[in-house]
Amino acid sequence: MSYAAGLLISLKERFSYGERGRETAEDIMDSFVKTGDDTALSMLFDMYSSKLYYFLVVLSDTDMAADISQKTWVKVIEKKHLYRAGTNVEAWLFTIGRHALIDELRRTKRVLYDSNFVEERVGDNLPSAIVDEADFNDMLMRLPFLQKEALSLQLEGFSVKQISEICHAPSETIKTRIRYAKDNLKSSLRNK
Amino acid sequence: MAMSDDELQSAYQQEQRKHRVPSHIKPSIMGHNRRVNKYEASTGLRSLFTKQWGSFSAAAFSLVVLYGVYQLSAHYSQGLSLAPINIAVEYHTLEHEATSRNSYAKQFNAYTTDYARATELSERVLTKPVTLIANEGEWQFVDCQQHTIILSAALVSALSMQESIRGDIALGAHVAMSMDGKGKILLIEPATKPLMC
Repeated sequence: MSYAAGLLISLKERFSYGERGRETAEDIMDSFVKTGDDTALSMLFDMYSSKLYYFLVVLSDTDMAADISQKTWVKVIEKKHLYRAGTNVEAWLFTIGRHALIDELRRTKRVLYDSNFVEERVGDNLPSAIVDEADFNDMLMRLPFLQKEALSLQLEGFSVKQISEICHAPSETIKTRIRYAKDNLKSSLRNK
Repeated sequence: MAMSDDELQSAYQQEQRKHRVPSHIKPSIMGHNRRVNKYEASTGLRSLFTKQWGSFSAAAFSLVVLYGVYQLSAHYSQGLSLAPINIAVEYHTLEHEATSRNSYAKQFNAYTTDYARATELSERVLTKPVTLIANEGEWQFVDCQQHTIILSAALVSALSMQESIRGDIALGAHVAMSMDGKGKILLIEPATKPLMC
């Protein structure tokens, strides 16, 4: 039911621009690159801003996610000439967002982003009392950084190849991260 | 409780809908886009102006260079057609002396002994004011254009004998030098008025 509601909202967003609703995101992005058109930017923002924001929330927190979201869209505006026609807009946007987030994490040293941390199989061990009260979001956020990153991107709809490109990691590594993330998540939910 | 991939996806999307992007971000982004567009439009115009100005400057410079080349070429071609040898020194001798005075920088006017006398006065076309600056052997005169006119000692002697040098001409004297149409000296006499250059 909730899945169908989500689909309806997506469709409403997709077709809420009349004639322009028939354009693909890539067409709209092409138009934005050529003209800097406000309408095109507004459409792209409505299509992807919440998806990007939640991806960033999962990897950091709401304040940083808001900050990085804003920086990401500023980069989209200022670096639009770097967009290559035909590139998947959402993947390009998430790549920019992820780079901006990692730069910020490294700068503030708030979160360890270390390759030794990458393939860790198990995330934080949640006390059973917290697990009982935790919802999906809490448990997702408790996963190791690279696992929740890969899993979030997959749940967002990206293919393994696209995730591999966004995260600059081999496909097999991405698959491993996703598998570990799912095992951890399902295990936590099973214990709930 | 086991959870399928579909359920994970559904749960993810539910959470995503709970976390809407803060409302202040979109107006801020749109405002930024308008500022960027405005800036790009102004720099675009400036860039166009700069390019146009650059082209204009290049064209103007080319014109100046072409004009300079044209003037230079006109100057040289004019010089060549009107004065193949731009002399600074005229050398006047008797005919038999001329072969020993072969120099590119000198223009010779050679005289037969009786030529000057035969054509005296009737052929006179030009009187040039000059100043005698040397009179030991050769006579040297300088005119208003600082051209030097040298008369060989033999020619001076011949001209004197023909009474083509009249009066007392001392060093530094202002002299009227009369020449025929070919520049041959017919008469040298003291000037009646000071040299006016």
